[in-house]
Amino acid sequence: MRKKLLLVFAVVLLVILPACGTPAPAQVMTEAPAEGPLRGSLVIYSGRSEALTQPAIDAFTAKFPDVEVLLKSGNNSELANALLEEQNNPQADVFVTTELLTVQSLAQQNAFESYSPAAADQISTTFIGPENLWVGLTRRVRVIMYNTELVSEEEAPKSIFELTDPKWRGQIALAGSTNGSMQAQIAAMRQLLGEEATESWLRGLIENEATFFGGHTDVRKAVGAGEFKIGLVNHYYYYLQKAEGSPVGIIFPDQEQDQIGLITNATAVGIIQGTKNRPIAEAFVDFLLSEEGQKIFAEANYEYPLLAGVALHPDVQPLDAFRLSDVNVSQAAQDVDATFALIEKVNLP
Amino acid sequence: MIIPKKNISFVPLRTISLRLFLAAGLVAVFVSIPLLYIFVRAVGGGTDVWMRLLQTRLWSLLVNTLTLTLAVTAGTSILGVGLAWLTERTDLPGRTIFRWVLALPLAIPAYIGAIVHLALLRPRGGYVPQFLDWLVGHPVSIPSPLGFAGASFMLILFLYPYVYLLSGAAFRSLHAALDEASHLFGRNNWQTLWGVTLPALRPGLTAGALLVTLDILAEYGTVALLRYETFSSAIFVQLSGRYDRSAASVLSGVLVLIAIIVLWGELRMEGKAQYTQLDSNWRHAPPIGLGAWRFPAFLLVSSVCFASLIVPLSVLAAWSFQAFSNQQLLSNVMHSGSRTILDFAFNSLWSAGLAAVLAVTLSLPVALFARQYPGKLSRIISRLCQTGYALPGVVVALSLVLVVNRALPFLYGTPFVVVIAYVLRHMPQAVRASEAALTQISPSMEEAARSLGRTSFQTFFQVTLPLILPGLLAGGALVFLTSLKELPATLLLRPAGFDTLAVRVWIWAEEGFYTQAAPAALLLILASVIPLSFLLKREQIFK
Amino acid sequence: MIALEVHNISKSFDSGLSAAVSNVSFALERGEIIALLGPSGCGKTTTLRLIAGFERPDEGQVILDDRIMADRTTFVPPEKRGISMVFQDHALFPHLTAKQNVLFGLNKQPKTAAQEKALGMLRLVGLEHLSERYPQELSGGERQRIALARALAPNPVLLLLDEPFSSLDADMRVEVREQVRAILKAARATAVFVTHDQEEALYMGDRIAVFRKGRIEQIDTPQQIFHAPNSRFVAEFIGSTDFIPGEVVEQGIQTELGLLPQFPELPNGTKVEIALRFDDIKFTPQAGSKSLVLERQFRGAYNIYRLRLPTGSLVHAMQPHIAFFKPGTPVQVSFVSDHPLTVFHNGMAVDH
Repeated sequence: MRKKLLLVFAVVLLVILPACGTPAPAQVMTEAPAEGPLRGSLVIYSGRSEALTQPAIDAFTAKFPDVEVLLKSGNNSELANALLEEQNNPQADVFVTTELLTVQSLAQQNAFESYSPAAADQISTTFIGPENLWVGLTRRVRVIMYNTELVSEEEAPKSIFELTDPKWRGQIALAGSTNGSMQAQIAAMRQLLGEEATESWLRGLIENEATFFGGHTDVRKAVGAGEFKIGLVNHYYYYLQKAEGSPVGIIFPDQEQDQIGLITNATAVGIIQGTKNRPIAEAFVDFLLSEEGQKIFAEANYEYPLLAGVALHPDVQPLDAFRLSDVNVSQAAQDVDATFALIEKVNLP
Repeated sequence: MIIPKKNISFVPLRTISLRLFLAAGLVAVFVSIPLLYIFVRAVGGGTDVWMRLLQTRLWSLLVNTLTLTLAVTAGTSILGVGLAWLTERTDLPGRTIFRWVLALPLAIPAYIGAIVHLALLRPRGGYVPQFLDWLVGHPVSIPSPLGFAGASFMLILFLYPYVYLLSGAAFRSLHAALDEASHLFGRNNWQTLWGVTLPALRPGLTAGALLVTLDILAEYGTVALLRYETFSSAIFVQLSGRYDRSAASVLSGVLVLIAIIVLWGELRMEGKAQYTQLDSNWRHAPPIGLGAWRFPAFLLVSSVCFASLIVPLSVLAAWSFQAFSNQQLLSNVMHSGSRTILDFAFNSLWSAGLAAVLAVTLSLPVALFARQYPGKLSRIISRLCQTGYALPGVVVALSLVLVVNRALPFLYGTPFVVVIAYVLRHMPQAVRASEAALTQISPSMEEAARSLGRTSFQTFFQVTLPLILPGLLAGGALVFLTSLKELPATLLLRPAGFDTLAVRVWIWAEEGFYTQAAPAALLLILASVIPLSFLLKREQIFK
Repeated sequence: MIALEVHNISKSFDSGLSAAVSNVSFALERGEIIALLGPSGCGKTTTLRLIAGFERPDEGQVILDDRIMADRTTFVPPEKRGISMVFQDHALFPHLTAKQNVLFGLNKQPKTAAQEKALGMLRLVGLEHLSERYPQELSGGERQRIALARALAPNPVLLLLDEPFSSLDADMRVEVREQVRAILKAARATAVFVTHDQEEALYMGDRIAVFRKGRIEQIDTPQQIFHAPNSRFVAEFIGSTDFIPGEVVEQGIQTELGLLPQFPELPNGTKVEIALRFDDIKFTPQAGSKSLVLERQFRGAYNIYRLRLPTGSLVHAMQPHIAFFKPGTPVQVSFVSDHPLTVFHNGMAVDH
């Protein structure tokens, strides 16, 4: 019997081995030849979904073939916790997050080294951390996506506060309390509306039998499949789902005068205090903020590039057209404990 | 004929060997690090953390965890014993094939099974509801696989083999005379089953149920996927929240406490009832005729095989096929940055393999000490080494992050931390296997070697080791199998670039890339089949 | 020449799992076989293990060939003592063949010499033809003899045998023990033999030490142990003994079987007990007697009758195989007066 099993195993390996031999098609063709003689390795902790990070890393390694990039993807806070534990024995060189609260909190705990990227002057100062301890990469906004076969555009909620309306009972999908973007949204709402209003909104969602997924990919797929009518996501999840051919529509919520405006957020990167690969880390940050790097985020992932002059993906609506809410990141980072206390208080799934 | 096992007293070879004591003591210290860490952190967590948790999560978590544990333990016990009885004691059609097929789901990690079933059954979005929708023309509501019911169902489906294997072994070892005696006293088949056979099975059943109970307490992937919050998943949530680990430590402390209570209860039961068979004139009991029940029984057993084996494997195969037929997906499956799926498979195999070797090696001094110097001290050491059962992967990982990072910083950030976590977590399996293997050989065997001029070291290598090797291999195979499947500790401890198959499957599946995860999942299952087939062979399920 | 001396050894255990011994002493001539006899828990096995070096005595000395093996300051580990042991379960190594088992103790000798010696030992125990078999392929008696060959192969100073026949079936036991004694004597081995079976001890031992509660009750030749037990315990343990009460009087000892003409140095009126073996009493049918035949046990060459005396005491008496008496037959019971009987006072034998 065991012989047979081993045989099966061997056959599967034989099938897989040649497949591994075929070279991975390059995600982005780089026209420029390898620049410096950079060699070595770079360890990246990333809170971004791996699929949304890997293309940029592949492009970077195509440019610096002697650099080996090792990626550990996870949840923002989980990795931040690891970074804090590792402060006297740093393992990572750079940290990429999906929101600014985590980088700001880490910056306040001396987790980062200061670095002003080459393109610093082309990035709004809003997205550069104090003392250059972190720098923003891309911007994303919180939107409502809906299944157009189940909901018409007129029907679709125009404000996130409509999500607590009983008419959507059991029809809403969104990410749960472990998701960085969701955490950041709650932090922003606390600042904009105060503790009580945020709490009642969260409780309203729970009472409305909203379903909380671990991540937004599940949410977009569920809405795309008609499993749920409405989803609260980062904008690019709508475009990713749309690109798969699903019948989905997008609402940029809260645009009326008395409403809070779009809640925005930014992905960011920081160089870890005590890195032994600082030149490579700098090159990586510079690459992410170069036109080439920003284009990858903009084109492959529909994000809003932060580098001035980089074009949006043609399908993406420019942010200029919208009213954006104004959140003070440093303040939100200061209040991060209160945000988590609120999450626990309402027992957000 | 069953008689209570005689309390075999083994009298010390000579006054306590310092070397052996030191070795066993060091192992005990090593394994109690996580316990100690959790204790310190939980107690030092501060009253505000305790109060906060008491006011919010603690009670609901306790209720959630305990109800799930009870439901799944009861469910797996009924299903496991029922299946074992049908395949071992009745004339069920195809029983010789079912006998080992039913054990195979052990190679499928519960969270992978849950991924598949979730994709199939998810309300509205799942394949099954969509198919029904298409068939009937309007949405059909089916029971949701999410939450308590779904988590119980899924865990029962993939954990029952523990009970099934252990009670199957017990059924096989039952003497025909037991049944015959019962019939002579006027009991029919059913009365014999309930009054005689099942009570005689109790040790095997208890051991299986204990494994299941502790597995659920430590279970992370499945409950997280099915969105049913237990202590284990809540600890992860805490880690994904504030930058403060004391809440996670407090939750871990409570979880460890529950597990220790379970272990303690089991030890008490174990002490009370131990049965062994007289081996002279031993005969198999003849199979019981199911009569009209043959077909329903066959249907039941087949559907268990279908749900726990055929469905996951075929869905994974279909997904893999999809992945292989799409150039982009195939590339994503095969390459992840600078790493390939072969690297992941290799990582899984060597880390689990090394963990197995280390766990067995470390279990030896403990088992030897426990046998040569029975007493309070050796009992404490042996029990300490079993607490790994009670430590969920998250807890072990948390403690290692802190302890290794402070004490052995050069080890931190290497795959060896992952291996250490596997050893800590799965040490009890090795200790139990080693202790069981040692009880199989008579102490006089070693004394004979001593009297023939061998020192205690020579005796160990020339006599003891060759004799217990098969038992040690079985323990190693078990550690290997469970380490391959390990998820939470690996997730937290893996250095960048060191992903195992289990981690890959999880990362991809968590983001909803099922097709991409499927080939790795299949590879993981195949790798698990190797140690499993060895274990089944030892159980003499393959003849 | 003295091969083994055991001086006042004592050993106690906290766990209570093993029997303690206290103040045990005996010496053994070269070539002599001593049987340690006693009920389970009497300390005979502990004594054996103390000699082997598997236990360290709390007090006392173990001296082997004039070398101190164990005392307060010295402790020679078992592998350095030159002692061999045959275990109750034989303890043959299951991963080795019969020959490899025998060779196990010959590892310090040159290969060819060891091979020859092993073959010689297998020949001695008559199992040369089974040398390539594994223990599980041998019968109980064969395993027993392989264990003996393995123990004898390194020419041990002393051979210890721990209940070596107890794992054999009853019908084999007699045959095997005859072989073993012959082999031991042929090898001129000095041996300590532990058993709880008095018949085995009487057969195997040149001398017998009867153990009781961790002490030696009596150490003597089998004949002496049988005929002159120095305590009621020994008499009882050695078996086939009934006891009847008696009282010392001027003319001897007054019993319900009549006057016994023996004169212990005890004051008149002292209560004593008299040990009776089957051949120590005789009976004849006599109507009206208050003693009755209760049962006949046919033993082939003779009959054993169980009798009830007027006081209710039960005694056994031997009769030729042709003498049949029905249960219920009233009989007249009396002493056979060709030898003195053992008399006990407070459990100890009294001189006469």
